[in-house]
Amino acid sequence: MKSGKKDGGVKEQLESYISKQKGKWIVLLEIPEEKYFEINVNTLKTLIGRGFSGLHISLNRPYQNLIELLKEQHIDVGKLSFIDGASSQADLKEKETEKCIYISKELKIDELIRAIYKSIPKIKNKNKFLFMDSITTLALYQPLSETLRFAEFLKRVLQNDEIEGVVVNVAKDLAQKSFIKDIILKVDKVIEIDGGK
Amino acid sequence: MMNSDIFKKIKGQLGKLPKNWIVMLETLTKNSLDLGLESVKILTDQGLDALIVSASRPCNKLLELYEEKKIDTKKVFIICTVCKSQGIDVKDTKSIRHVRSYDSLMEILISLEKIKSELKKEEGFLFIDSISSLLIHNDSRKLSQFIHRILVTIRINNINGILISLNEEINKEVRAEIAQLCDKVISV
Repeated sequence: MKSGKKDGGVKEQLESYISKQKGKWIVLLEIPEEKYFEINVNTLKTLIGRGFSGLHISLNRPYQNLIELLKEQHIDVGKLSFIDGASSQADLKEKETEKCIYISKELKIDELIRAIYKSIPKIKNKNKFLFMDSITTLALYQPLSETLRFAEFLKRVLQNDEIEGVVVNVAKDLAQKSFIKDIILKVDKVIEIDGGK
Repeated sequence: MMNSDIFKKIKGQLGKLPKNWIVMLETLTKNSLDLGLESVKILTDQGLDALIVSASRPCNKLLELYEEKKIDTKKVFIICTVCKSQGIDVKDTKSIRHVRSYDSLMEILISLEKIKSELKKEEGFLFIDSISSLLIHNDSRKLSQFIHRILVTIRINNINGILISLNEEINKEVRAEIAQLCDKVISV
């Protein structure tokens, strides 16, 4: 059913789900690809609006580009840390900063996991989330077994006292891929976002 | 010939894009040539340089079509995947580079690196014509990786982008992989 909302109902659905949770949570958002970035922005706004700070793993967009766009969308980027897995695809070799860790173009899972553990303590808030823009982009570069290992890790990272929730995105037309079905078995909730108005 | 409503729609949409945009243009095969020519015309008339990755027509034919359309070819740079694939003996020039074949995706990226310095800073666009043609000759995963890499490269270099996709010839998974990387999807 169409939400009739411009953001496809992401704010409403995510808030409704999170507010009912007593423990930690991991959510898969199925997003229409035509509104992918717009809905990413609304997801971040919703989480930050609820008092969270987070770690944004960006595989689709380079950090430089992403941070400018998030600022344009009035997102408080001070509440975010980043792992950039995109810049290296253009052979850009950036040095790690306080805000961002760059990972190499192979997108190796162990390197990604190390970067996550290194980034978590940098987020200065007791309510932290982890947000990944696209699990299928990871699967372009890694075998499915490794992508699934990463999905297992996302479940495990919640055992870390500091992370309260995880949001992973997938494009709607890719949600039927068999490895996504395996990932769905590992998450607490799948939220389908429609194309909105 | 495309009808004038489609021309108006594309002119309207391409005329109001934000800075550093990447657009996926979806259309029917029968409209793709006119739509491609019209898009290049609109954007070069706005003063942008065009960097064309041609997978549908040889570069000399493309230049003829641009001249007929009164497109300023001094603003056009081409990475041609067609000529050498068809065994045509060609030489590179300052504005035209040829890659070995349709499936030389790495070579296209290297050519892009070399040719991008010729574009005016922040005033150029990459035009891929078309994803569907490249998909005929390339494995879908490799092609999606290539598009991911090329779009990240142009974002970092502040180059805009248009990717033509033919509705009938692209599978929905490849379409989804690529559409999620774009800022806007326009269907005409």
